[in-house]
This record gives sequence, structure tokens and C-alpha cells, in this order.
Amino acid sequence: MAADTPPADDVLMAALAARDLSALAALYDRYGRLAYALAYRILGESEAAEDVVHDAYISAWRGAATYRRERGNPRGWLLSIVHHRAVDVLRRKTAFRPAPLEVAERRAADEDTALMAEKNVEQQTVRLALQALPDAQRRTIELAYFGGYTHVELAALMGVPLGTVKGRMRIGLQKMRRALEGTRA
Amino acid sequence: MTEHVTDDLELYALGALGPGEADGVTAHLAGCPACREELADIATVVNALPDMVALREPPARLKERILSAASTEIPRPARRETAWSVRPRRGWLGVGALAAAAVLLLALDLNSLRELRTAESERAEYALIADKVSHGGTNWYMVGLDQWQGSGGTLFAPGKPDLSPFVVFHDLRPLTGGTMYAVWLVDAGGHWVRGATFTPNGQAIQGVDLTVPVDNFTQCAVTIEMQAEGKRSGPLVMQSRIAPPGQ
Ligand SMILES: [Zn+2]
Repeated sequence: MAADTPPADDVLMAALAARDLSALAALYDRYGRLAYALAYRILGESEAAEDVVHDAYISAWRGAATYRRERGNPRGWLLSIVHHRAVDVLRRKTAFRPAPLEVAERRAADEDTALMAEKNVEQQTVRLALQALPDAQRRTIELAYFGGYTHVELAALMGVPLGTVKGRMRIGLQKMRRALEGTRA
Repeated sequence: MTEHVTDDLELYALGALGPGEADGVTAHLAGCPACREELADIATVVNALPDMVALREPPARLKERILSAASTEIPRPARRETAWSVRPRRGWLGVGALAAAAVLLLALDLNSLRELRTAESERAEYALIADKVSHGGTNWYMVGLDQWQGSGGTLFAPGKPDLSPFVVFHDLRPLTGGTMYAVWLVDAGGHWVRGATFTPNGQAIQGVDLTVPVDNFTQCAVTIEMQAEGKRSGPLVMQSRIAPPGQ
């Protein structure tokens, strides 16, 4: 392999399954920052975010042999582990919810994103796709994914039936998917 | 199979189902390619969401923490193993980490998107396995070969004589045309002895008991066969060396 060609994610996953520590290091170099940013966004504190990323990578290390490409790429797989763990920690930390809507939204809102995020096309596209959604759909998706709220909590929080929460997510994600596909085509 | 979970896939992908609800979806997904495919589409959007988060530098020590924790979990070869096995076996699981790793593997496997939302019943099954293994047993991991990559199984030889050996398979492919899987033990003389015959249950994890003790055998293997008994004639799906006689 040429020294200047970094190995593809799938190659790293195979090496990870073969217990190759350097593959774990490479996956950390590649996605550690994003993983940490996601965990921090959900938890709002650095120590907890660090622990979540640590546990997620160790869990990926242990579970690499059972990773299957058909269920998503390595990046998505890793991020979903991080997301799941972070939400889990968040839910255990806050036993009773929902908080009032404004509090929830303040936490789920991403004030500094526009200033700090890298000016990378992919990131811009996602942000634009989300911002282009009607408010109710955007907030439902943000509160669920970044705020860790369940659909039952969201229904109570937003004062709408469960079916409405579900519908907003579905339509919102469908629109985002079309927007993302449009830019990738 | 349970009813399709199409209606809940967005909630599931965003992590917005309660733990009990998510288990049901996880269980369905394990056996339903159609719903898995639909989920994969939704997941491409959901997995793009982290892209809009402000990037943040993790503490410099984090990488070292992760690597050092992982390095303590690399299985070391058993002391006697070097005498008969020079090749490192890929995918081998250390006995010490087994109980924890088994639960994790199960969870990851059932659902790579919603890690660790394992169904209670499967947790219970794994608790049983962990219990059996805790009696000082040994285990060997068999890796799926060729087109069976992704499948695998761990052969457990429990330390207590009254417990029979068993294999815990993961991700077994479904079979067609009345064929079945056979588990074999092979001795140093190349004799194949059938330890079990079974059909996949469609779940991500499946346990199979062997009717033959593993002592005196040097390899275990899985093949696909047309007959529930008789000699081995089908293709080899997975294989591993196991402890040689007298060791
Ligand atoms: Zn289905």
C-alpha cells in the first residue's frame, strides 16, 4: 500500500476485528474528534463526553468481529454507538423529564455551531437541510437526537399526540434525505 | 416473524424509543432484511446529523486511555498453545473477558445502530452461558470462511464434567433446500465425528449443544449437510483448532 494512501474504513474494520491496535488508533484519529463533539453536544460536559467516547471505542474494539457492512458504514456504526451511549448516560443523569420546553430547547440548540463548525461542504449541507425544515419538524428531530428525548417525552413536551411526533420525524427525515441525495447526485 | 416495524424506524434510528420499545424493534430487525434495509436508508440521514455539530478537540489523553484499555483486552495465547499452534488465531476471545464481551458482541450484532439494547430474554440466555463458562471452562472461536465471513461461533468446553460442550453461533446464514448445519469434532487422525446437527433459528445468536465431549479432538468445524447423520460431505463453513489430546 502506498504510504500516502490512508487505508479505507472497511480495511480498518477488518484489521480491528483481527485485534490490530493500530487500526483502533487510526479510527480514533479519523473519527475521535467527531465522536467527542457529538458526545459533548449531547451531554454538555467534557468529562462525561470523554468517558462516553472511551467506552464507545472500547465497545467497538470488542464488537468489531460482528460488524457488518450491510448495516451501515464504519463511521455511522461508530457514531451510533457514541450516540446511544451518550443518550443513555443523559437519561440516567436526568431521572425525571420532560423539562420545560424552553429549557430543553436551550440545551438542544446549537448556538455555537455556525461559528465553530468547519466550513466543509458536507457539514454545511446537513445544516442547511435541517434548517430548511419547518420549525416543528426540525425541533422534533433535534430534541430527539441531540436532546435524548423519547417520543413519549416529546409528545408531552410539545403538547401533541404521539402520532404527530412520529409523523414530524418521518417527514423531516425524508425531506433531509432528499436534500442530501440531491447534493450528492 | 412479528409484524414489520416500518412505523417505528425513524424513532428507532433517532434513539427516541423507550428501552422496552427499542428491544422489540431490535428483535424484529434481527430476522427481517426488509426492515433492516429501510433502516439503513434512514440511518444515512441520521448519521449525517453529527456533521452539523461544532467540532471539539478531545483531551489529548483520551487516545492513550483508549489504546491502553484496549491493549489489556488482547487475548494472550495460553501457555501451552505455542507448542502446537504457531499461527495466531484471528477473532479469538479471551476467557477472562468472555462474559462481558459476549454480552457486548450480542448487542452489537443484533443491532449495530442501537448498541446494547439487548432483549431481556437474550440477556438471560447469555447470563446462563456466562455462568456455565465461569466453571473454569475453555473456549475457541471459529471464524466464518469464504462466503460465510461474518458468521462465527464459539465452542465452549465447560470446566464441570456434568455440563456438555456447546457452541454459541452468531450471524448464521439461513439455509435453503432442506440443508442443515453440522458441527464436527476432528481428531489428530483426521476422523470427523458429528457433534450436532441443526437448522438456523433466524436469530442473530444461537446456542447448540454437542453430544460429544471435546477431549481427544484437535479441531472443530461446521459444514453444511444434506443429511442429519452420516459422514461429512458438505462445504466447510467455519473451523478452528482446539486443544490437542492430553493438554
Ligand atoms: Zn420487517
